[in-house]
Amino acid sequence: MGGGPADEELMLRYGGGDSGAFEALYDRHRGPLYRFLLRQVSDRAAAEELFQDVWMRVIDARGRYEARAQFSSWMYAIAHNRLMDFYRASGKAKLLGRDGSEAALDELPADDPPAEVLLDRKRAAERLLAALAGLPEAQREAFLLQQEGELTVDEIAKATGVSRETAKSRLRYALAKLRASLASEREES
Amino acid sequence: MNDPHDNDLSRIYKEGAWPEPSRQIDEAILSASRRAARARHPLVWRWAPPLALAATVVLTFTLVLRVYEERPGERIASPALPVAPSLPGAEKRAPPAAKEEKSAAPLRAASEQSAPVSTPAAPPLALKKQAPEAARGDRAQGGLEQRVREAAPAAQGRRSETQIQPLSAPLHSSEPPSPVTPQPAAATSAPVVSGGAANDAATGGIVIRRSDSPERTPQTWLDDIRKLKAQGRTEEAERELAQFRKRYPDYPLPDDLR
Repeated sequence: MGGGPADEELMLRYGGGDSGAFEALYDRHRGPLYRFLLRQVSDRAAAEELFQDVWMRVIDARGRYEARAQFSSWMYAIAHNRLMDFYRASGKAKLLGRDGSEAALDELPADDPPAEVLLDRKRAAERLLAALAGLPEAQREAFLLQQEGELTVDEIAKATGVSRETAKSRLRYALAKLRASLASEREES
Repeated sequence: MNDPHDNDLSRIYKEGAWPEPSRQIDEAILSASRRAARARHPLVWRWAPPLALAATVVLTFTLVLRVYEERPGERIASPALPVAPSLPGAEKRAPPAAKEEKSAAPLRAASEQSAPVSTPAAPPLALKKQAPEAARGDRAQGGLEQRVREAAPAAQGRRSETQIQPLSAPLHSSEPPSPVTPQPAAATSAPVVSGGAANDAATGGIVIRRSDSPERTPQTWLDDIRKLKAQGRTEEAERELAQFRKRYPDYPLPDDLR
């Protein structure tokens, strides 16, 4: 997560009334959390609503927060619960639609590499996102928690409320499917 | 840990899109966090529990001190209760200090239950006056109660609470005085407070009636004299009237007996 005070320390400081600590915390986690949510739900508006809701819960819990668990595990557990609520409310999980993936591709960072390389990477990322969208919810979530939240298998298990073995199994399946998907695309091209 | 991981996939994923929340969302969340931080001021939050504890301690100490200060009054009052048995025939009463009365109210209630002789009509003055006479009185308790009851209608309007109050006030300032109070054991020799116009001036609104006959009030005594007269027992009637005048010098005699 980089230098500076640990997330847990920042959260405790925020609980003590230091709003600057929250800003630092928010700055660290806003992107990963947003992408985690965006890639789980179908559209940007829903992702933003969930994103805002998760942070409001973090704010509300500032007085009760105890640094027993890692902050990111705790925050992603909140996000996981909100996602479950979202799925229950909207029926079955939706695949990441064109709206999300196209918007994501539009926001690719500007690179110096040649246009061909850039295009290649862009296509690879697009294929990966498409394959990710095709994964079962639980496997996709495990992959995103690892990539965006930088959580370990234990932390993924804790955040999603499953055993370590289940979390590990989900992650392994997700990686295998994504690899297979990218390989088949390469072979076709 | 041996977590499943694929560096190539991670790289491709990270080289992909980096969508981020809009600025409006950022602003909304950050301003909400600032508002929340202001709402729970750290100083107030930090000092609230010790302040509450200190306030509780001070309050408790004050209450304990107050109770302790009031206790000496009770100590003075409480010996008065056991004094009563040592005065056979005399009414039990608490010292007339108003402050002590106030603090000893629950005690009084308890003592009234156990010893129903706590009388509103036990003034020091009345007791002093009646003490010698009380010694020779051998009236039955029932008779006294009856006399008091008889006297009640006769003095309606004047006697009563306002008259009894000066005597009972020091003891029962918070209680409405009862004009007819049962006077069980102690009342047999204690003075009976009742209404009577004749003695108002002499006793400051308090009529103290005593009679050799436990059944007779001044009025009944006069009625008896009338009966004697009517029966032609004039001498007896005269004698009785003389005794009556002696006993009640200020009592206004009816015209027929003058």
